[in-house]
Amino acid sequence: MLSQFSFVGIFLLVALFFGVAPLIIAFFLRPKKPNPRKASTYECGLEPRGDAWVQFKVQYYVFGLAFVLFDVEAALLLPWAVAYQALELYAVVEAILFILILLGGLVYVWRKGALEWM
Amino acid sequence: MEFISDLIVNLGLWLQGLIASTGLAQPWVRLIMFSIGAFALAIVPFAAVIILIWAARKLVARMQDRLGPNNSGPYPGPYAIFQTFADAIKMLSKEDVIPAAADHWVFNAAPVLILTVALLVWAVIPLGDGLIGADLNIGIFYILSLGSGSLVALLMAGWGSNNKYALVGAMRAIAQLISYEIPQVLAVLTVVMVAGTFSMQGIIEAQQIPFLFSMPLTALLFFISSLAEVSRQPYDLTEADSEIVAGYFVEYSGMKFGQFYLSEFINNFALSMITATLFLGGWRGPFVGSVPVLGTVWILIKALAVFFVLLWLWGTMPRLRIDQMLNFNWKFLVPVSLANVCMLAVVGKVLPPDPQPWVHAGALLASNVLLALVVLGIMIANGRRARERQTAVGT
Repeated sequence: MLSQFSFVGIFLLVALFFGVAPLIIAFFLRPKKPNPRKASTYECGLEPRGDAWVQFKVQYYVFGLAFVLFDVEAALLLPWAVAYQALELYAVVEAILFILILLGGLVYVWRKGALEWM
Repeated sequence: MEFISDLIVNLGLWLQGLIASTGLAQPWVRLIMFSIGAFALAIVPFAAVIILIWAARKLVARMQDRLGPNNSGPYPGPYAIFQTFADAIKMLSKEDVIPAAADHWVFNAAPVLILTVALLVWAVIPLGDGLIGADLNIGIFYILSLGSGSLVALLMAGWGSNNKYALVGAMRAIAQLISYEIPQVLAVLTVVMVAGTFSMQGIIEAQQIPFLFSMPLTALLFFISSLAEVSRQPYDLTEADSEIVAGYFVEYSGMKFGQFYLSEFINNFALSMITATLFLGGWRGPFVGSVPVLGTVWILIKALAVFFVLLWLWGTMPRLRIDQMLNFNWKFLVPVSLANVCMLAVVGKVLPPDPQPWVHAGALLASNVLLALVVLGIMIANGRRARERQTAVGT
């Protein structure tokens, strides 16, 4: 198994090479004639007004929080799923109880109206 | 015949013997073999995608009553088959415009990262019987965890561009990707539960009956959520041309744009291969036992069938709004997939130990169909109630 993981390590380097290679080839082929008009930010042909680095809509953060809740759940359930065939019925029932508790979280978020897009 | 039947494995063994005969130590031989294998494996998605982009343009054009690249006009090659090469050469020779306001490091790193992550998935995708980059014991988990890598690349592209359209696109992409990751993980969870392993080859070997037939609802949940993960129609609001121009890659030009485009198609084809592996039985098929190389043909046929469904949706589906996209996930897909996990977990334990494969598959199918009917019933009741409320308000 260790040699399999070392293959993934080598593949990471190769993938990185394939990610950079098109840019290196393009570097030798492409023209380079910059001017300030070209380098301005695209805003449908108008002069850009202000930065895009602003505070953004907070609702994305609420969805991010809900995601963290369920992602932790998935991380905890995946080992359970692999061992599922060796487990007794009570372990399965406990996992279902765990899912139901988290479902309570989803119901709470839903009832609070945090899932309504405004 | 012996040689033909296991072509690529034999080629590998022959190469290994050739390198070993030069008298190198064993670890070095392995290192060289791994490097050659990694290069060969990394070329596979590129080669596939060059054909698939052409096929996708042709097929989607026909679905939308256009001609697409064809024999007439300036297209190169018969049936314009070299169009993708021409596009690649054009992109390579285009000027690379970097906006003055952008964060240069983040802006330049994003396309490299997104293409690297798209390629990395291919390390664990099985291409045939015994033909796989690395048969990791955490195979499908590795693929799921790489999903977050492309997410970081999208945010880098959107934020680094310092462009309002790019920022809106990146924020939408992140909301979509993190939301749909949950039903995707839960669908994979049920597959892992039934197969008893994360390994991709192990999952294929567990499918005496393809999981599509024993767990159709799970397959549907996985396919819908993966569709959102690769931002394919109807989930292309992250790069909606008509409202936010191109989303997070609006500022990219030349080969950097090409890298985003390539990685999108590589991801689509990887999704097709993963769906074929998880639900359609991978390289399993008639005559694979005697001629192993046929397994590659079978999995390619299955993956291309899935890819055709992707194109079909591309050609026909309208785009969702962001509130519809989020509602559909959080109020429908997540509860249904949680119920699906609970149901299959109970069914698997209620059955007598070591049941016949068809008894097991039948029980899973029955529970899946039952759940689908219950969900359908709730939806119909909800729809009726909503209509009644509407008519009451109208009068």
